[in-house]
Amino acid sequence: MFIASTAVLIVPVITTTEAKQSAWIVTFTFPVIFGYMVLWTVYKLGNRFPGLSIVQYSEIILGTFVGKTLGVLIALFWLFMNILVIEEYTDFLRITTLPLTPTSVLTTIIVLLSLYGARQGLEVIARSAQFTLPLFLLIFFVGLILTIPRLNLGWLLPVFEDGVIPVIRGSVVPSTWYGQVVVLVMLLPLVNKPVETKRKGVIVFAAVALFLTIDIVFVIATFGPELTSKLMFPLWSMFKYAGYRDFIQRLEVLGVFIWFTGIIIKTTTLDYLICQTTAQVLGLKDYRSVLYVLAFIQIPGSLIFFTNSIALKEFLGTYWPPIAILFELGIPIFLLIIAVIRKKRTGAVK
Amino acid sequence: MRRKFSRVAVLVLACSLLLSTGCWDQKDVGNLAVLKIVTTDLITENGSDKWKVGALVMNPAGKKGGGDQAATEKPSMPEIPWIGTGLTMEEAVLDFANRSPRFPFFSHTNVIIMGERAAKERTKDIIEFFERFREARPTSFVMVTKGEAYNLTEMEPEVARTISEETNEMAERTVQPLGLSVGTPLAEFSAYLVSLDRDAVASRIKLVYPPEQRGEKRAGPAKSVIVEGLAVFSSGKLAGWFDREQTLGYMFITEKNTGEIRINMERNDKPFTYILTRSKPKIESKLVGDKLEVTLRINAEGSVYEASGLNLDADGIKEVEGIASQRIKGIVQNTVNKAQVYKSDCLGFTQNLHRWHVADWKRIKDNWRETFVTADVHIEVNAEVSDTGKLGEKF
Repeated sequence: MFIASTAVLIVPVITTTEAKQSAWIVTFTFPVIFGYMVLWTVYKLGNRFPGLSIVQYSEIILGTFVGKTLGVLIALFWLFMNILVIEEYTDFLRITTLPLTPTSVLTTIIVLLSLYGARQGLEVIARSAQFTLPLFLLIFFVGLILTIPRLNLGWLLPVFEDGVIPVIRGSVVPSTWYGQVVVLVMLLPLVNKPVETKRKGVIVFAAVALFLTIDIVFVIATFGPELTSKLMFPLWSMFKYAGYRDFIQRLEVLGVFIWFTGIIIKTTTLDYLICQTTAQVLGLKDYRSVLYVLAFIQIPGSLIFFTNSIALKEFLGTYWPPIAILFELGIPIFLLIIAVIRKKRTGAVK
Repeated sequence: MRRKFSRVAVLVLACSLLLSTGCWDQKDVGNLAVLKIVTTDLITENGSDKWKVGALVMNPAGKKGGGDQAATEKPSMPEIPWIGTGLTMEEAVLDFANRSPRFPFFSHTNVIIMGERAAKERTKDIIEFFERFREARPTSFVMVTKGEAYNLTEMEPEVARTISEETNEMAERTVQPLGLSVGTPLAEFSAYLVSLDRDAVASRIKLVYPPEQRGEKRAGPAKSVIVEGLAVFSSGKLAGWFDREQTLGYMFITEKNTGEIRINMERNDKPFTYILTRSKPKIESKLVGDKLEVTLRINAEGSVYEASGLNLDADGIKEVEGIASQRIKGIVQNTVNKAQVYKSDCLGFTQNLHRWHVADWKRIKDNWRETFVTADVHIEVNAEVSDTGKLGEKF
């Protein structure tokens, strides 16, 4: 859910721009491998330091000062990611349904809601995810089924037109989405049964890969690779296109509704992570005190960084992946290697 | 914990609900002028190019159209025409929208009609505008008319309640089974318009003048429309037209047809009608040297009712099948020739090459339209007569 909520909207564009009609192959190959690498690293680290989060064990591995600096950087990464998510969504709303509503209002609503959720703690977030996931799936599949008459599977040919290279290039951006599983570096200590995380993670990857693959296959088969790469939100356009004769039409508003709940869960999780990270770096007793500060950063932050959707799209496609890959895979692997070399561990050897 | 969860859930739902009502974007139905059909034209006025945009706007119930309400019980016109001009399409819309106390609203636009000149010069601009535009729907049908499109705002429905319903239903339901044309929704049209290996077509709409009279008065409307034939595009510009028979050829090549497509044929100078119920094409393109070679196999199935004295026994049917195959082959050949004249590969030959022979496609990628023009097309038609109706023997 965390990964899919924003990915279904934007990924098809970015991947089809690179990989054209082979884009659907992208989602279940390289990004999954990337995501699994992240998961594996995170899991190994968690095994070495049971009950500790990345902030705490990076202090053990690298010493207090460097460890804390890293903690600050990680908090900033999450803050920035959150701002991007908020920005993506307000953009989406502005283009599709609410062009006249001031962006600041939309931003404020999302931020306040997610901060409230974050205040309630992790379990509440998880439960609301459980609650909305079936709705999300239901609407998604209703949309897909109603699109079936419009499909033209010929659009998916030829496969691998320009070889494998464009497919790999198209993988970079989705990889960063799969890599978001890195949130586990903070959450792992809080999970009931950490041992099961790896198996569950694999299931999640399989589900998300399937989800995104279906998404891209449908979008390309509906609009063709050329038009898909030009559209801003292909899935939304596809929902507009879906329908049966005159009496089932205009599903896109349902889509907006359900994506909105998805986004709230995502920003809530991120808010929670930022607060936890900051609190742990600063040694605060209660992470909630950070929440209030956060509101004052996020609302102006998302309003200032990007003023139009094209800039955001460009940023997500070109500048964001290196940063994301660094934080998602680079830092955990780096920590793991150092930990192995310096033989630091707190848990029992398994 | 349960209470907390339900509180969050309620809050999430409440806020989503708040947003679903529209906030600043709330629009009252009463405040909207719903544009059902939009026509776009390019005209020259005082030496400069201008857009002329026409629209048929839904006329809310209860408001009577001006004129002779007293004389007849005729209901008011459910859709009223508006026409405006401007340097951009948006300005042209404003030019008629400013006469109304309601906001123009495009979410119910069923049909987008382009005038001939606009289609020749600015198709991509028009379609891009509608693709970008938030309210426009990908299901609207794109049509092209000969001459100026705004003339069509005068048309009136014959059977349906409103003219927009009538054209929409024609495009969606009847033209294809009758073999008159194919409906081209905006999304499909734009997909082919930007495609790198295929050209687009759009249905053609034209004015007709129903002649029926009832005593002194006309029985139907003075002007109505039919959707028949296709407008053929080449590199995103209108290149020419397919008449009804060429359109039929196009349908044979590109679509799996089902319906009742009536095709006239001749045997010993006596005409009869072959009713095609099913046809299925198979295209195989390959590159031989630098020449595109296309093998086209069409399987058709149909029936004959109006036999004009033909003896429909086993031998007669064999003969009819032969005639039908020849006739369909002729129709298809004619379409291919015409498409080559227009330099428009709307038939999907190059697309087929691209899909199955990537290496060959890369060789002709830069001048694929020229390659298409010189293509050799071998047509094989196998038409069958599957039934001859309820009679076993001729009268």
